[in-house]
Amino acid sequence: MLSSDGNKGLAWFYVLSSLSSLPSTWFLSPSSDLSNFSVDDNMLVEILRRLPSLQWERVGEVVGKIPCDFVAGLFFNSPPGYTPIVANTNPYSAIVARFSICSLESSSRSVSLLASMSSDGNNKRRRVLVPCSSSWLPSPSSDVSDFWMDDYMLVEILCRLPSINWVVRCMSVSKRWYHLISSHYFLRRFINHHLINAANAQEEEEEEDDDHDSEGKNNVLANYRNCFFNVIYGYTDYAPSLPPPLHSQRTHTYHYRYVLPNQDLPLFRKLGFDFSYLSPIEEDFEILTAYNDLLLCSTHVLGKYRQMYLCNPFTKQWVALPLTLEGPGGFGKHTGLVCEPHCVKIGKENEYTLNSQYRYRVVSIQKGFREVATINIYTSETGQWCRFPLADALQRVRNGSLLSNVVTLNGKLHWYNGEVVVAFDPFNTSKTRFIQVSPDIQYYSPAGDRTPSYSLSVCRDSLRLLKVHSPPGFHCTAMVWELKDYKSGTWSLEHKVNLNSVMQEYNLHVSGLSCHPTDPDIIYFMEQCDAIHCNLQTGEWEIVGHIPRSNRMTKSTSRVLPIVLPLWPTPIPALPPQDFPSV
Amino acid sequence: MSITTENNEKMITLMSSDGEEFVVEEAVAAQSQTIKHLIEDGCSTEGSIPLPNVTGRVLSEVIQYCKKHSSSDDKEEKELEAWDAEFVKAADDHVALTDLMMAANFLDIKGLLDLVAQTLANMITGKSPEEVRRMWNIKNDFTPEEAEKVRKENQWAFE
Repeated sequence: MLSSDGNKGLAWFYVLSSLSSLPSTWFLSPSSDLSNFSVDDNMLVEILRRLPSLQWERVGEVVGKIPCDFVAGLFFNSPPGYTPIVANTNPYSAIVARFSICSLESSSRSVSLLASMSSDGNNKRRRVLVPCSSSWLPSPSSDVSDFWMDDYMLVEILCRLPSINWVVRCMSVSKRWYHLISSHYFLRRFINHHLINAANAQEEEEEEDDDHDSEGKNNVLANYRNCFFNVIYGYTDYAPSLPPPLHSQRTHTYHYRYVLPNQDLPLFRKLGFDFSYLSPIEEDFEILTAYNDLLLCSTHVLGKYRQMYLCNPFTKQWVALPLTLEGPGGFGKHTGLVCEPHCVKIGKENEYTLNSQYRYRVVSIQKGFREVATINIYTSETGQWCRFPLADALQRVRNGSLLSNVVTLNGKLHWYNGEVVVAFDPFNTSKTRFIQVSPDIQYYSPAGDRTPSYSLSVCRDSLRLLKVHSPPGFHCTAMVWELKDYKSGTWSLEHKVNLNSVMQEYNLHVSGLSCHPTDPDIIYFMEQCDAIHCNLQTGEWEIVGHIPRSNRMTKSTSRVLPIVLPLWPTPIPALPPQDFPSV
Repeated sequence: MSITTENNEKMITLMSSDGEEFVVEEAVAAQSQTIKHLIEDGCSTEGSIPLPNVTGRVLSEVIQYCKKHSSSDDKEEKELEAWDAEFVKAADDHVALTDLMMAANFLDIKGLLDLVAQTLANMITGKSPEEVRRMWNIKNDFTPEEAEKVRKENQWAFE
């Protein structure tokens, strides 16, 4: 009718009769079996096909792909009056189609459909009229009791909740809320909303930084990724076990305990890091390393094997990696975990998607006394461990051990070996490089000198090297360097503070150094049995955690693990299927 | 029906679901993407634009918002923020805000949708699931077993 008028803004098309069979609410997630939804997919494809006036070349491509690449959330729901269909067709082409039926013209038995599509950030909108039989029009009576607003708007509200705690709590409200929040669509909306807000806040803060320097810094944690974090101090206390178990050579029972300096953060307050859900736990339970909110733990099995667990202490999801032989020199400090990002930025726009099947590597560097160091790498795609001798260049390790802990940045593991910072890429070992350090970082060991403590940390996506040194007869000095330019290897000295003048009543035999992940002025360390939070700029410090004196910790097993909770907890991918057990 | 005022501003007539008519400047109405597209498509020349989902009470609030936001420029950002805060405060309760959000969604006014969604999100923050249910009169359709399962799964968020 209208199409013959040559009215270009309006296009008539007929929606398949299958529209009437649409359920009121439905979702697709990447893991859904798409065959179950083939009718609905076809329907959507038909709609997209019939938008001739839109004239986007790329829509054609996407339409062709939809049945296999229909990844993100898609929902359709029909409260009285109008109906939005939100279709995120393909996260990689970043084409989003949203339809909202904006008015009902019952006399002409048609609805006016607003289609908005964005492709590469160009928003284009066209109104199209959809004639239809009145049979599929939503009936006002619905069996869903909380039908007070449609899913699209509910998502828009819930994605603005300040943190995932509140979102997850809302899952208990009703089944509809539960399904909505569990959907991939919601997750993407939530993450995009918060990351874009954080990015904007960051920009504003940087703009204002010149005039309101101190004010900006107070808000760093709030603005920067909106993250919670904690530094975990783990220690082993041991007591002679009576009587020693017959089947064991060991005469001590070990307990791994934790000191969490940031007890006031709600997520960590009661968490307590209970690992009872990991079973069975045998001897020597340790947390080896942390990467964002993931922890890599291990226990001894049958004396010479190690059982490692990758777990998320927040969601209590975990997976047991295949057993591996314990190499010389043990585990611990020199174990690293590298994961591909769970949250991936796509395109030039601030658009993010989630990669729940991210690849990861567990890397363990082992070196016994006067032995060739070996490196043991676990590959998530194959589910196999692979051990090989450390390349010659990497052998440049002083005193048979790495001088610093191992940290992950940009998909690489980093450690300081006394000469250079090694950037080891476990996804492509040939890409390993060495970052030179300035002479005052370098480790010299004149006779009688006390070995400086080194610690590598990541603060605001930059590598930081923290060195605490107390030469005989001199003050105990804390120095923090930041790697300003990763490519050229340019370091800048950020802080040089005489800790003796800051903490006068202490002898200062510090250990367990770590930088704050977002506040560049704050460091954490252990002084005897106390965990100290110290601001190097203002000189303020406080005791934030304590190891009971009765449990003498063994220094060699103390661990500093900055754990950062991202906007959404990282899921743990399942192990790949194995044909035979790998040991 | 397009009326032109003394300063040659084109006027648009909007009709609410309960038949109330509002005459507003085109620039004000065009804050709504939905109306803007209807105008572009030439729908406004034939008479008033019917808005079958928006009641007169809500529409008058929406127009108030659009008027403020079409007359302010970027320099008054701080003042506009304060005005927005007062505006949602005046909307009083979550029922009124829900109506306002539905209208903002239907009329596609991004700024208003953001504002109201954030206000409602702030209202949910700090409330227990039970309180949220009461707030919106939502029926708890979990069986006790399911509720327990969901609670266990999400235990960490409640601690």
